[in-house]
Amino acid sequence: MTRELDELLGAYALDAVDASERAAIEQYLDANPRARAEVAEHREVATFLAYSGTAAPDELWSRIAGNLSERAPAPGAELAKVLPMRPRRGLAVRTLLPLVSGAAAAAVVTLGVLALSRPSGDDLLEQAASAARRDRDSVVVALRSPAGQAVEVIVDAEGHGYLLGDALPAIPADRSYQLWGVVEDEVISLGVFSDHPELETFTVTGDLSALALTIEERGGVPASEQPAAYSAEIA
Amino acid sequence: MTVGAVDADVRDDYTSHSDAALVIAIARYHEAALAEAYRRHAGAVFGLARRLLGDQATAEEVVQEVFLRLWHASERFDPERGSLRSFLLAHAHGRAVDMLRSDTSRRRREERDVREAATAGYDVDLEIWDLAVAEHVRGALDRLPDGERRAIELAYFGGRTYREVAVDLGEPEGTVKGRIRTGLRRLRAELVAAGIDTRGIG
Repeated sequence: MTRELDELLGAYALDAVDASERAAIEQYLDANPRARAEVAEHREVATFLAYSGTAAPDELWSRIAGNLSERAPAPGAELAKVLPMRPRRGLAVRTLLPLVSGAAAAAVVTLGVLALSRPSGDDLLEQAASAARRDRDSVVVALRSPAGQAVEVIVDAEGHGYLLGDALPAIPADRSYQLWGVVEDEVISLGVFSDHPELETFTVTGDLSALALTIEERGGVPASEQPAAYSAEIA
Repeated sequence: MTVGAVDADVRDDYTSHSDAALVIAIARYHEAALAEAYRRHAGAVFGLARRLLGDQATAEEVVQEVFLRLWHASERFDPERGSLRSFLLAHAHGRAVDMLRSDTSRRRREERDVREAATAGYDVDLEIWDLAVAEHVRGALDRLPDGERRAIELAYFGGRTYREVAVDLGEPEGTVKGRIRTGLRRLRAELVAAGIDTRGIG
């Protein structure tokens, strides 16, 4: 029976089985990761077959967008949730920048790179970030550059952080992005990332009141003397 | 500045985000993220639905349903099971096949009036990328044994079950389902050999 179901996986991926066979295959897939992977591969191939060189009509998006506004929950209340850490101490982002300067280097407590490694796969990481984003207790904040460009950071209630670094411009290969946080009124390094970050992780322990990204020499520095390339206060 | 206000600021620019990042934002009901997903993938979804159904209006219904489903149930997208485009196309294909197998759609198909889709707003870079890949796909299809190619085309673009394909081709059912599976594997191998990332588009 297993072999018969395996033989049907290609047809199943193309919706070319009848209803009774579909039910049997889906039951089989639930218990068989190898078969699930095969179906996923077949569907990816079908994706390439589907190329048509056409575009969807522009007015169709207007219809879809119109339906969204009727059904989607208002985002404001959900997005206004803040990280349930201890009450922040009113440290504005403007105070962050001097703190990471050389003049205040003595006040900088460097805890080092807290999290550079990723989970076993990018997919798992994306799922974790997605879950954090859905969590109403997470904080989602946009770090902004002086020119107004934004990069998004998510920190969940446990202090697990995600930097959506895809939006960051690439920098020279001998440089690294470094993320800093103001925690308990002290500036600490939250992570050193590559010259072209993607979805990156870090960890925060304590009361986080501001974040900043700097561009440093490759491998990062214990205390920055660079201006913040992106920064934000956490309300 | 509140978190909500900051978040609103970042909503407007998703063009450089990965598909995975888009889905994360869609889960937070960021309309601009859905708009970007639409910009990237709606053409393929619409093209597939129209090819299957032979009717622009019905194809538009499918596109609308696919993107509304992504909006309301983005958690159904599991990146472990494939790319976002694959997810959207699989949904579109399933819906189109359901429609095609209904009597109403069969009549529509017989009376098909395929109108040219509007081309405004199509992403030029994406189009060039698609064209280059499409050339490889056409080549890979051409190199398939006839029986495998015909079985795949009838099943995927004709919306037929493998049993119906077997009747169409005058072949045993077991042969046809085997050819579909073998042909898809052969196509994948060809695409991989051509350097195309079969984990997905976008």
